[in-house]
Amino acid sequence: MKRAVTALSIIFCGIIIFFSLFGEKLYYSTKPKVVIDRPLRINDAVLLPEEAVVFEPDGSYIFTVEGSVGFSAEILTVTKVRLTSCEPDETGYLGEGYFAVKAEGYNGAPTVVRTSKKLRDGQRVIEE
Amino acid sequence: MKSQRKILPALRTAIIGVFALLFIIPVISTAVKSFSFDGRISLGQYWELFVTNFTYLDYFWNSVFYAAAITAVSIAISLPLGFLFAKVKFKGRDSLFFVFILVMLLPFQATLLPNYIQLRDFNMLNTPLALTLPMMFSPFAVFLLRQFMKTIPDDLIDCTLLETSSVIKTFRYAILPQIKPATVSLAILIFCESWNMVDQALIFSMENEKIMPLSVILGEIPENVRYAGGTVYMFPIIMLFVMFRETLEESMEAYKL
Repeated sequence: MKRAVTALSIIFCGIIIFFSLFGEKLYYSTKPKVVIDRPLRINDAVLLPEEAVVFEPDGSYIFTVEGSVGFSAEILTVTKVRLTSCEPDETGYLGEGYFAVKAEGYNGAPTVVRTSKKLRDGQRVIEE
Repeated sequence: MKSQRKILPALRTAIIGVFALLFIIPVISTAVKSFSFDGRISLGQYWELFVTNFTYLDYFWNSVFYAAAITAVSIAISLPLGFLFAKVKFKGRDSLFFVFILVMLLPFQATLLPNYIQLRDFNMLNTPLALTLPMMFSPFAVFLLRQFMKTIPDDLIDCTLLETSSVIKTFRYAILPQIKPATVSLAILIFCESWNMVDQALIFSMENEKIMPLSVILGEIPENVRYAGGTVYMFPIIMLFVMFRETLEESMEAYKL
């Protein structure tokens, strides 16, 4: 019994020391790093850089970001938003390489414009 | 008569068993629930606790530091004081000891304001000293050690004093080995008390959340990691108890605690 408790205590101490040293590093290194932008809205369309739009066989998507105050750091969670319209921007307002996008309920919330890894709906990210 | 003799121990065991269950159920259910995350059995809650809520461990180390410092200093202060009150004869000893008992009987709330004023005057509020210093001087520890030391025969102390001609050596060779189980038990009790401090921390460190012990912060951790947080918080105390259970029981039995 005593041996088991001693072994358990050593394991516990090891885990605590490991995460005390590397917990924060793990938090920042395991999550995708993203560039977030609050895009410009012209008329009823939102202008986004081309790399913000993800094309999939069943349609095109963007990832919006919602922030919340966490216990240790700000928690940013992405939501996958399906676009109802995605046309190259012809206004030339922001230059070349922009899309004018439309989606249900989307009116220019903070959006991921670049990411270090492929994103999933509901995933937590770190702002670069 | 015979059947009554058989029923009574069984009834006693049953009642004790029910009480034991009442105490153990919250501990076990907290530990079991800490292994479920998003409705699945996993270590996800612990990963979330240690990685996403990485500052949790800062508070854990705060608690370790406070409890260890309070225990060590408190024992170091209480040992010679206990010896003084138990074995050294001087004028006014009993009156002084009476004051100690009086202070011990005062509830924490009664000494809170004087402690607060003192800490404020010494510019110690919102520092780790505010959370440790008041608890380092424990009249309870002095009282308990005095009771333990009183059981040591005077002849043993006199003989050792004759052999060594030194009070410190007498203390080291005649007293300390005799009260080792009592000291270990006391250390565990003080450690547990310091580990669970809440009121002192909330009042003496109102403006500095970074130095709070884990006991205070536990209520603020996110709900999805609360069971893992509770389990990690309980673990050191349970391990201490299991490791030193025999010593604790021995000293409690020996000194009729």
